[in-house]
Amino acid sequence: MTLLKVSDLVVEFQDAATGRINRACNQVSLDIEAGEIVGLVGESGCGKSTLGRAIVGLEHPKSGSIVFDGVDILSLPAAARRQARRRVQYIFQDSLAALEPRQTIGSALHEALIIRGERNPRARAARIGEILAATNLNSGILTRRPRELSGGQRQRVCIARALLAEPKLLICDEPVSSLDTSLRAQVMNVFLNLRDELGVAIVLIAHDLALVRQASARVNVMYLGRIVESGPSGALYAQPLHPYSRALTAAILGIDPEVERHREQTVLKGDLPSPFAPPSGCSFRTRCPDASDRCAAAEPAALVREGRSVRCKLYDETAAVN
Amino acid sequence: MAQVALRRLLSALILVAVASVACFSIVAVFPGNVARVIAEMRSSTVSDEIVKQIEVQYGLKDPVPLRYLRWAGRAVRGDLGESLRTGQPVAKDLVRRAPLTVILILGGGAFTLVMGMGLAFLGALWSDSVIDRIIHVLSLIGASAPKFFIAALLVYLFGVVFRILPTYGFAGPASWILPCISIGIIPGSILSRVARVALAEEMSRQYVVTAISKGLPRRRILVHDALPNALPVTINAFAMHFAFMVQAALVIEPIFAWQGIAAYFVEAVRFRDYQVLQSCLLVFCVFFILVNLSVDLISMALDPKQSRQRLA
Amino acid sequence: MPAWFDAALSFACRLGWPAILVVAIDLVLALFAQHLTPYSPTAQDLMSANQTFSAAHLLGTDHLGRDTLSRLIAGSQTTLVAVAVVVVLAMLIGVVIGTISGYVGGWLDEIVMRSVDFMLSVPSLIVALAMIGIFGLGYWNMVAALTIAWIPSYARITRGVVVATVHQPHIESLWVLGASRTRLIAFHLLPAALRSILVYASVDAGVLALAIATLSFLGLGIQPPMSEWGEMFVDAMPYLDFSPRQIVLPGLALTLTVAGFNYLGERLASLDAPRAISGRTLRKRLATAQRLLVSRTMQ
Repeated sequence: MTLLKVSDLVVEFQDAATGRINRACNQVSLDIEAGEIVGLVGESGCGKSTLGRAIVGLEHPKSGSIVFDGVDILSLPAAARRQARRRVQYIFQDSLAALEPRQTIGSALHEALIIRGERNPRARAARIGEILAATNLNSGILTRRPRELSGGQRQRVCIARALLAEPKLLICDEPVSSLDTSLRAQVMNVFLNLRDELGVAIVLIAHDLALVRQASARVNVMYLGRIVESGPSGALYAQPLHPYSRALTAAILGIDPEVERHREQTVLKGDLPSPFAPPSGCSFRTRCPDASDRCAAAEPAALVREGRSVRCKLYDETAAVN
Repeated sequence: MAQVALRRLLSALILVAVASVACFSIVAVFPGNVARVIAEMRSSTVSDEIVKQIEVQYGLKDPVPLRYLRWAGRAVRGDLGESLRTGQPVAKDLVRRAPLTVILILGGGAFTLVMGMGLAFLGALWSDSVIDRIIHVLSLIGASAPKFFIAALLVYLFGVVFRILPTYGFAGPASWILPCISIGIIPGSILSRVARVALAEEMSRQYVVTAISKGLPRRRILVHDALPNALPVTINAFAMHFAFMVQAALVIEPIFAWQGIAAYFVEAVRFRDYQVLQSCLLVFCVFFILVNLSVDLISMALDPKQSRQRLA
Repeated sequence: MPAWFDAALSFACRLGWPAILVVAIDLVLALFAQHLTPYSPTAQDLMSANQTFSAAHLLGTDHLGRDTLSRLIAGSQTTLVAVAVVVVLAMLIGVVIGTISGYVGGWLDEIVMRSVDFMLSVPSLIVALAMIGIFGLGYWNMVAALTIAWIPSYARITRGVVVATVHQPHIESLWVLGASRTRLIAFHLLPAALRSILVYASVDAGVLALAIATLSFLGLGIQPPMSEWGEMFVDAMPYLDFSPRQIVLPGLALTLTVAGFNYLGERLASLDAPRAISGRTLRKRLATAQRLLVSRTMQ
């Protein structure tokens, strides 16, 4: 069952000083099934966070549609939109900033339940107890303040708070990138448990493909506001189609030396172009090792085959030849 | 550079226009019947007939935008109307009183600059000396003591105890000294602290450490490198104090019985003479805008990086 | 950081207690003025005019024979009550304006902030004087004039805090959880704004005391027969030659009060950050406090 269907979403920002427009999401489409973990990968500035924020309603899309749980959210009036989005929750990258510094953890969790309309303090305390167990936290932290917790604990508190809203979909913006490597597994395990035990669908936003690959069933690769490739994570990792995905996978240190030995080494040249003035045609062509003249002419269309989709002229042509 | 300066000039002009609207609107929001206030000021017996006559004479029944345009048109030609209390033309009074206030503010500004920069520089020259202590204590007092208190103490000290300076009236340069010191001493003490901190900050930077380790004398670095770099901060602070001297003049002029523009403004407030009130406010606003404009231009000239950034 | 600055800082810290003491004494004097004054502050006794320190009149008498100590105590009440009224009024109105302007944003924010900036570019005392010129003399007219002149700075600070907070993750995550606009403003944005505002207000109280004294000095604020320090001061100016005591005492009372509030504000500013703050942050905070102070102290 498709839980979330984003189609042709466009989100734009205007630079206040120059008036130039940055199209952070350019006709993005994304499908998420109930209870699956989906990765969203790309460099900083590619629009992956904007996409996540637009789904929960922190950004206002210019056009496109977001269908969540069968409801076309953007066609609703503003008040009803929030009601429809109550079961989508968001986890911020910086867990310290996501919690009010002066509020104790207990008070923050209670507030989340009060917002949901739970008036009875006993019922709230019981619910919080359950959630703490689900996120491997002990009740001692309830009287502490965010600054007194470790990064891993704080991030799990954020997850616990989001879970109090009984989400069907959890959007996690770089949930572990500010944590030590040793703590990452802790938090990632919480995500896996959520999926297995509560059936929560999760969008994992990350700049690191390696992290996403283990947990997620499918991966979307984003570049300059476009999803350039998407597919099952195993296949995408083993045989990346888009040159950009090739570069990303090449950056991962693999375990299997046989696979790695035959991996084509792609190192990107140059920097991400300014999002205010993206290149004509294929936006990746300025850094693409396989770029040619035709890439500048028109934007490549998405080619969908065997559950995978890719936007690149290379495959456009092969498709035509085949 | 010239283009940026021009743009800055234009925005200052727009600000003057905005200020004139704000000053004019003081009459527009004047509570009660303005005509009656005027009539009461002229004679003790007020009849409705006289009030109506005044309404016609001053055009008080016309729509507000029309009245503004009429007032602004006259103001541009140098006619600011007549004082309600004395019947004298306001513009003439302002011109007559201007030299006192100008001398007070310029003299006070010069004193502030000399005192502030002098103390700060001496403090930086011999850091951790008694001068730094003086700067600190002065800035503490300067931030808390009322101007009129300091002025009265100075009057007592120089006029009553030592009897070396005139404490009253406007008669020749000798009588200018005490008022100018009175108005400049508090901003001077605060400026000395700002400048001292700016200099200390510059002197603790990497390039100074490098220069000292290369064997350059401290004094040379202070004069050639630290001072120019600390200047923009200091000038900005000074400009703020300079602009705020108008406010200080409100109390300094009465203490020394100077009939300047600030005293004129206070009188206008006391007698609710709105013609004088709005004219004085307009003069003050133009002064603030001019000070801000010149600071921007000066710091632009001092700091080439800033002007380049603004162009980009 | 230069050593003298550290010394200055520790000096300021040591001054913290005296500051609290001064403000506390002020408050006690103001609250119990009626019981603490040895004489009626308005009782004239021309037979004992212009007396110096004595057992009967601890701090002497003025030109009308009124007891200076009694007038100083009554003056602290007048000043602090007026300061409290103006600070509370200006704070309430300013915080509401700033919060709405910052939260709603758009053209409303633009208009409100442009006018606030314009008013702030003119010294507050001049704005207050212009207002008195419109309203006329009198106690409540003065309070209204000062309130109007003081609203913009509170609106500006509040708006700054709100704009800085509203896009912070902790507010956004509450929004995602479904918190209502009212809840966000009342429980999260306003308290955050109030914390910064209170620090500012305590410095501001000193500046306001100065402004009230200045207005009274000009004869445009507190009117006789009420006792007020600025008014006492201007009363005594003609007798400066032979009785400087009469101007030094109210002047000192005013200076001490203002200094007390200033230091209290600085201390509050450092308490506002419970975590260990680096020397650089502390220096920045002090510089900001200094700047705010300087811009308002120029009376």
